[in-house]
Amino acid sequence: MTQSLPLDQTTLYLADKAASNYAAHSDEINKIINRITENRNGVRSLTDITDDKTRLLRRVAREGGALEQALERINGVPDFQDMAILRKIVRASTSVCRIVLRGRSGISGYGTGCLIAPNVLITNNHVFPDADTASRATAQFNYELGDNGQILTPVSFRLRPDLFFLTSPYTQRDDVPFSGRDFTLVAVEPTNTDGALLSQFGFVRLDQTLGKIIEGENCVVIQHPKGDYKKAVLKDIRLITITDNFIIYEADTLPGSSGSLVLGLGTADVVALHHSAVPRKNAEGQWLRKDGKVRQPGDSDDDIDWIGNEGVRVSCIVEAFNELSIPDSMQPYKAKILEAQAPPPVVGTTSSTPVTLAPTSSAAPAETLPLPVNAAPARTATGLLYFEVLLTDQPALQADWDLRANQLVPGLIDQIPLLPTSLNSFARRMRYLTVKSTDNPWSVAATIEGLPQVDSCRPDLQSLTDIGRSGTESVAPIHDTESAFVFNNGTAEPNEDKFLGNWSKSVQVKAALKGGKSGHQRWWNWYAVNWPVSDQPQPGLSKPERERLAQMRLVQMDTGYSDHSKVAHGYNTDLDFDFIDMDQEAVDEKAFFGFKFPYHGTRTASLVVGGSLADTSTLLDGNSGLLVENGKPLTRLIPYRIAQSVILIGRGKQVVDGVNYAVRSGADVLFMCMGSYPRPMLEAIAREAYEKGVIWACAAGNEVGFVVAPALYPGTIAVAATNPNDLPWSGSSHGPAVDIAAPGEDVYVPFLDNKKREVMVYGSGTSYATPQVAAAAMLWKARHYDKLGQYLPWQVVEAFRTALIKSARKGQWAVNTYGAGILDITGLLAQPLAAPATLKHAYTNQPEARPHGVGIAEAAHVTWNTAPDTSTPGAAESALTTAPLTQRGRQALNAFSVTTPASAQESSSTVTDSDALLRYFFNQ
Amino acid sequence: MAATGFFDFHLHPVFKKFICKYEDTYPSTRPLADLTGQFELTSHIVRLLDKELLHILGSQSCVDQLDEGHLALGVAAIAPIERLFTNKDDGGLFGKILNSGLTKPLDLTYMNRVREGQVSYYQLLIREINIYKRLHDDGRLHMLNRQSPAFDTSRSKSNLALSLEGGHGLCRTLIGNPGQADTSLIVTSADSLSDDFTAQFTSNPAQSLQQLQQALWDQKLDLCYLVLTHLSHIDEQPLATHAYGMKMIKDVSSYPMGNGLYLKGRQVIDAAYTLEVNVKGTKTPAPVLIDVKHMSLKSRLDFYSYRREKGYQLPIIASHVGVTGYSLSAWKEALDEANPMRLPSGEPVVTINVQRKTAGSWGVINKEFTYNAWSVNLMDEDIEAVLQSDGLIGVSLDVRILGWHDILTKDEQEEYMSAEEFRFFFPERFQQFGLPAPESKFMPTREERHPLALCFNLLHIVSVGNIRTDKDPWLQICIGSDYDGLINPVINCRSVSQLPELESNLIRWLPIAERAYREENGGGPLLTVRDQQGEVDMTYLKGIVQNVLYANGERFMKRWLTNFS
Repeated sequence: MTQSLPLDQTTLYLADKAASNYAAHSDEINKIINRITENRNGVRSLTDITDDKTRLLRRVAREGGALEQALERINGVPDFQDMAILRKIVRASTSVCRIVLRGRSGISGYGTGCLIAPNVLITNNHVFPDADTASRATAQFNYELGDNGQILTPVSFRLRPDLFFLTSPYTQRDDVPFSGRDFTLVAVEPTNTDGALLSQFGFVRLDQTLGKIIEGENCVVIQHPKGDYKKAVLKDIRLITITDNFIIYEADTLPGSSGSLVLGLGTADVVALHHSAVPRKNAEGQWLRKDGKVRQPGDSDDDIDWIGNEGVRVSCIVEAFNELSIPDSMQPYKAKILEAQAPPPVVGTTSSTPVTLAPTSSAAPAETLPLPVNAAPARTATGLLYFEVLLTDQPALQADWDLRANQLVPGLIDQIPLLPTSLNSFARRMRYLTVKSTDNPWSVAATIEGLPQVDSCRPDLQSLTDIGRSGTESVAPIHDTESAFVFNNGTAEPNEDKFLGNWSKSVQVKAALKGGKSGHQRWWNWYAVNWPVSDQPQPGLSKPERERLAQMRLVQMDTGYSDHSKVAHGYNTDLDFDFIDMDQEAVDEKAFFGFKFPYHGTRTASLVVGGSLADTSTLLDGNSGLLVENGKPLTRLIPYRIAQSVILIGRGKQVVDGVNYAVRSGADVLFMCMGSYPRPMLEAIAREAYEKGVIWACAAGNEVGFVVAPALYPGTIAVAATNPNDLPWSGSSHGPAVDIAAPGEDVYVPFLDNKKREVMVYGSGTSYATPQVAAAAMLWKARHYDKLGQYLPWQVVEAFRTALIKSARKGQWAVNTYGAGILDITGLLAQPLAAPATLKHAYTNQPEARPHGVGIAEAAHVTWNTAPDTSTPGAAESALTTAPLTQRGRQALNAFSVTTPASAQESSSTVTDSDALLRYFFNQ
Repeated sequence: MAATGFFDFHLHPVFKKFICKYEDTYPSTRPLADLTGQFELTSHIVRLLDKELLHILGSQSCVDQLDEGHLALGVAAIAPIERLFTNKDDGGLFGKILNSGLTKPLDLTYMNRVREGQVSYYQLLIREINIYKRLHDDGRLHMLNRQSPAFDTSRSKSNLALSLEGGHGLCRTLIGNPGQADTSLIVTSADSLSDDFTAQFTSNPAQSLQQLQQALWDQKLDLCYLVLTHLSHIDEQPLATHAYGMKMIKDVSSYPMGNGLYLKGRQVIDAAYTLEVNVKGTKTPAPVLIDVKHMSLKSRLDFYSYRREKGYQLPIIASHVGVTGYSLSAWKEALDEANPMRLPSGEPVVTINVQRKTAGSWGVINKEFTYNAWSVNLMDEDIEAVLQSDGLIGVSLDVRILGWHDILTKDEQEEYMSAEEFRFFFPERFQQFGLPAPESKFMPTREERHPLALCFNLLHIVSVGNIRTDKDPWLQICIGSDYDGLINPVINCRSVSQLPELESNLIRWLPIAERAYREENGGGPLLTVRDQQGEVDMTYLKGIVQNVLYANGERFMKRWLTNFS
């Protein structure tokens, strides 16, 4: 629409139709207008204007918080509005553009449009009735005034109706489905001829659910009126009524520009696409002018007495979009729109933020790579950051957070309780935040941690596991270098000769071979844990115990499962889940690629449920799982995939989710053979599992010196590793947190050789010690199941720990290093159950967890994710983080660094004592 | 008008008055007059509620209404308020209303204590039992028990047995805090229930049931049946996966988790079926029946198989149910849509949408008469299992359960299933799943009611019974209204006081529904005695209706009183 031109036929048609719609609802409209007047005069509250209780309640629900306060906030909308809402409106306005229509002879008119997906724009059908019109038009962003009144440089983009074009004609026709809704969606070129990126303007989300606005609330219209600079109408314009496909709201002095975005002021949600003004008519149906006279041909829209405006409802647009058929070639665009429009995953409706924007940075976000090297951990492709937040224990501040988190944290998309069903006081203080931001995650965390409502905030970033960090995993050198038999693509070659060369005189190998039991060296760990290797059913197990074992749940938190024949029959693939890709199966996806240390889950599982190798010709088979008798598993292992690979944890929340589901779905025993640095959320989930009575066996850690999380938490059972001589494995973590040791050095486990053939290899790690303790826990619980029914859940874990410790074969090591001794399963099962009253809760006298500050956490994160001895300030950016250290993190790192003075020959150098930093961070 | 009055297999006569005041001490000292009247919302919030919510919150079966409705015999169910009802933050609209402080006269102390885990479900249970005991002692009700196995025949009061709806009621640790015994009960005048609770703590639900029954018998009360699960997943004491059943409240625990019957659930079943109490030094059988309502489909199948394995013979009951109209295989065939979903806290569930079975041929409005296909309702195999065990099926008067809807959107039709159980029933479909979608937004349901829906549910049970068993199913059906169990009752019988109206409605609509049912589903006549014109014989029909509304229940309860000997 250009300035003061005579009204064209389309405008006349639409306005007439809008007037009819208006007239059809005149009773309702008059009633609401009277009530709005009463509200303006202060005699009626805003929430008393509507008669639609459902809508009001949805609106209330969207406010969140207590009902009374929600009503109070809604009623305050005309006079007071939170700055957060205004910020959202401003952000949404960025996505609004001027549409410049071109005919054969130059500019033929203007409209307004808005991006609703990274490359898709919406406007009225009467602006773009067909692809041809769209192909000749441009979308012009930034056509607005700057802070000093200067004209900003507009950025224009071509439209690409050839890629995507979907429209609903403004005329309603019975033969055209969803017609009369007057909208067009069209693809936009992602880059213009100057190289400017469309992505910098973001997009808005069309939320079709109810409750965005109620009658009497204010509307904000963002538009290019008559093609002028972008403006927002901030007058007291109220929503009058909502009809089937349209909303009717009060008129400004000028009709809105076609395709303008109509937002509810209360929520900053898009409520409609403006498409027509409503003229006043006389009894004969003739339009009236502002001077009271009947409209004359040639009158412009300035002359008309507009009494209202009409916009197409968002829900009608979304419905038509979902239902209208689209050519196959345009399906990818539809999928993109759906993806962009997908609401954040939340239970309930209170915390979703309606307007979301793509990152404003012009830099294309990096793809996450399967390998940690050069990965972009901080941001996802959508510019989302994740944070774990520990709120203060002060109830008033907590309540304030719940009420105002959206305002306190800019860009907050969603926040959920970390463990919604937990009543533990620590867990209840934990929230998990999704924030849209392009800032350094540690800076954002520091800002959040600075709030009085918050005790601690950490970004949830990718981190290495202890195995990934140390570079050693399952196949450890047998007095030789790793490269002798294990290769970076994850294959290995049999190493029994070396094993026998090193260990044939060892205590346990001698015991295994005693009496001429050929091949039993492969089973040495059975002898070490005192569990009979036999072709017969285990003599010590009763029928009810076997029945219980079959029904109990043993869950493995690892990299997922593979089809390696050693374990294929031991998995319960009816109950597995993937908490990384959130798909339905915990297949070890890295098992198919040349990824370092694949099949970690396969190897650890084999020690519990390993059966027989399919290929018997290799003569390599041996060492079944401890819960297998006569080749048949006594129980089947449920694999949850919680780590991308054994060296990398994607997000801590994925571990938390896996354990949370295991706990909630009734797991009896859990085991996890990898660890990382401590985080409040791992602490919370370890406590949760403990309080719910789940025995959680965790590997103490490999080659990192100290005990890793979650093994270091009091509620878990921390397992160190021993060798065939019953001595500690040199790589095993140790410390007071360790409960027990089990065979872990040079244990016989399944692998693939470099021709992808299934082999068995001797390998090392606390990863291998841990499953044996988990297997023992299953046997122990099956034995005492009835009696344990009388124990409180945590007492079940403590009774196990007590029996484990009492029955352990004493180890030849100092106290507080590798636990009470070596696992003795027969002794464990014979151990009388400790009386509940004698058991001590693991968290008694434990100080309430007080996480370190965000600066130390950042320094520890960087140090942990960097190979040892290479971290120096400035150069300490790990393979896992692309974000530079914040000043706070740098200061923390400096505090643990020593600068050696420069000598004549060399410049000064700074060395970080990463061990001291990490020990401080690990509280060890 | 039925001469003998009416029977109701499942209702909650004191629940709503009970939650109007949280008493600090035990036993209750509230005036009895305070406990028998109607529950009336007095707050201005009422103006915000739509009719459906008002019906749900309104009084349906208070003690005064029992008298009005001539309820001669029934089973009073106690369902301690679960924590999901106290979710005010993201529990959706209903959660907000319940916890808003505007729902006077409801005492928010209850909601707060449950939400904050300051009380155990067991304590809530014995507090509500105490109200029944007081009403019994005062002569307002007659509580049935097997020590004195007789009905009160004065017709001045209802005869009620007790039942527990939800195994969570056996949990004696603080809600959500399985590590802490509930020691918060302040006893001013001890009785067997409070003595047992304060001195005999157990964390074992099977043991808890045993002790509960003993304590009940010690004061001449008796537990008739136990519903193993209710509307939420009880993390601290999972007995069986529950069936999704509560769209009004959004809470993580409303989603089913797990894969059928848990080991602990099996132990509770063992305890219930073999329960003995000590009466004056003599071991006396006092078994508790297991009700399959609220159990997930897989839990029910596990339960039947466990009964077979153990050779248990006691009747299976389904106290307040509807039917899906499907056999298990037909239900699986009717699966329209299924989508994997992850809750924000990571738990996998599956949304499923099963095409609803048409109940009766009804001309142009045919399709409006469909059964509710949610798996909480009985499949044909369930009906068969109950009838074969000489059990009793109580048909709910909740329109949502009965299946009558006005306009059914996809969202309303959708239910949720435990991801593990979905995989059990539809392994191939599960393999085809892509990535899970975020949860869909909560939409309100707008349902309407009709007596025909009730008739169709009754008729389907009879039809299945005729085909699959050699029993006379008309003798094994009754009403299990679920009044005051947060239901939306059928329009023509909003409360127990309107039971006489229900009788005339059944007499009127059953023959019409039968015709429609048979036109749609085929099969032989379900109302068998006809006059020469082929019309259903009125005396016969009245007899059947009286059986359903009373006599079947009475016969069953008499059998219960004698331990089905």
